Amino acid sequence: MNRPIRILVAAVTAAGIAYAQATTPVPTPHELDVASFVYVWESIRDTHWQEAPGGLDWQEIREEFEPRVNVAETRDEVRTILSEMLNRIGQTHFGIIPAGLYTALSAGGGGSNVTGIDLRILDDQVLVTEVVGGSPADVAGVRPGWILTRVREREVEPLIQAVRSNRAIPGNLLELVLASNFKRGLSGPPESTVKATFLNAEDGSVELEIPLAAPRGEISQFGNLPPQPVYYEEKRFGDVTYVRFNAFLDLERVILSFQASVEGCVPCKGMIIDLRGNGGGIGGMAMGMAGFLISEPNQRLGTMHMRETDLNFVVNPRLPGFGGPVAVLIDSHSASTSEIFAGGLQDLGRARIFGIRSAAAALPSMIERLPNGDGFQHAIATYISEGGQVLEGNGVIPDVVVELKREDLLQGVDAVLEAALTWIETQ
Amino acid sequence: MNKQLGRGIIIGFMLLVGLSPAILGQESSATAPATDLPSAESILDRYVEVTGGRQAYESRTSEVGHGKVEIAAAGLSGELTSYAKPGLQCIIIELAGIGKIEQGVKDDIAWENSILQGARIKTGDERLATLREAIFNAPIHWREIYPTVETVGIESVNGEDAYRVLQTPAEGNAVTTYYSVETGLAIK
Repeated sequence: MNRPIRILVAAVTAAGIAYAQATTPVPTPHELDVASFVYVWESIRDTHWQEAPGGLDWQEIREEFEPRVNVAETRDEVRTILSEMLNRIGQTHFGIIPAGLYTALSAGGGGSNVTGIDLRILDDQVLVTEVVGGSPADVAGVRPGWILTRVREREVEPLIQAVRSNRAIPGNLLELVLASNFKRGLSGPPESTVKATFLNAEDGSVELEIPLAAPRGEISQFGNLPPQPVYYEEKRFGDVTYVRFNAFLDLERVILSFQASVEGCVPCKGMIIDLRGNGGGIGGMAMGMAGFLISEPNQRLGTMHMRETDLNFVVNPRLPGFGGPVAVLIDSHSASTSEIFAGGLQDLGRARIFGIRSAAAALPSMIERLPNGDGFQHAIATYISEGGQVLEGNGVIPDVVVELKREDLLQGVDAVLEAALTWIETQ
Repeated sequence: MNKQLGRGIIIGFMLLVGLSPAILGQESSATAPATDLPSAESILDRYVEVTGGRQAYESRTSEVGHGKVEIAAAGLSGELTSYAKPGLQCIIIELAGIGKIEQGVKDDIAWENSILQGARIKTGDERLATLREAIFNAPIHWREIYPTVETVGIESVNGEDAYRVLQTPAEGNAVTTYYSVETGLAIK
């Protein structure tokens, strides 16, 4: 990477004030976009674990895309070009995050407001899988098992078809991308509402205007990642401890909460760790939390392969440790660090995995701010679990597959959780 | 080369904090041909001289350091405090988003304690590297620490020419350090 660009990036990312006070001419937006392109291209060249990223001739890629960036007239156009270039690699964890997303998420104290609904795509329908108790959606009467048909006056079904026809999105991520986008459509600024139409349990159409509220959890900021809400919850089902958290972030709070859950579970009959919907976070947290479940030293969850080095995810046994049965629940939105955690414990024979296959998006990545202010996510390594699984593109295959069914949701049944509880009872 | 993740990514910069915090985050480019290079021995001895000389090092019996740690690419920053005397070292890093990380050495034991990983005794190459980095007044003991040293070339580190010196311990992985051609100080 050449020096002026590095300095520019450093100024934008680490010292905005210093940047504003610089005596050198202020770069134009177009110059910042061009610098961003170079930064992205060089970062992939220098940090991708393959010398030919995705099997591509990376120099040829520059020759193809740089002229397009040089004549691009808008930032959106540049984002599209950069995204197209990154999609050529054919791997997840490469993308451009519009600067506006950072702004939107952090405005007014952080966190965009939401309805309290979680969604999954099932048979090309948008299924409500959870309604947070007390949330605006709950108050409005939305229930798990309902089907979302319209968001903000837009029909859902054509949007699903449009995304399916976009070959830039890897197949294993389609469901995740779709559901995430619909959830984004249901979010908005504070004190706003969103109009949405659902099919209820009787397949009757229900149109609602739902107020938006702050998401559950606490807003966590880690490095260059956009601020995000992180929640951690613990329940007891008889003599079984159940924990759930939506991200491997907010390191101190989540690890200390997990430690407290383990302490409360010594002794107990079993432990259930629900990673459904957990999109990952800090990779090292998988090791740190696994340490409470593994008593033998020198066990590994897997190995991260970078261009010049291999990093072993060695688990350090911790006290208090839990030695009883552990069930981990996963679904198509369990990604990245969740897959490292679940796949590693599965390979070590330390946990039984329930649910459906995970997102298959496990590449370790960094998120940096580009000279033009956008975020840039790029993977720097590939990851192979201790049992030899390449998680990227394959995901974690549950030991016990429990498919998502609308009927279960309508009846208030969590079939995955019940399967895990039944297994623990038999241990 | 194999490293434990703790060394490599999340808290990997702790390897670097054995060096001056001021030289963290530097980058290098453009290797020059390795012709007419000074010997690594002379570069390392010069470093001792330009940082005060052997006598000054030998007069030191303990050390307290304060600094800032920044991983600009990841947007992480924090504070560092270190305490050291012969056979004893403790480094404390408070990093936003990760919390407190403590690592230390007592005689031949290397340890670490963090919220991320808990308390642990280091083993293998990681232990050896930590013990080497904790040697008090290490610059004047480089001959014992690194039996083999070599000047590999000249590279530009943030625009400043620097000798790239490869130092190989009796056990464990080699270490690369960059010494300014002009000042003789370690700059990466």
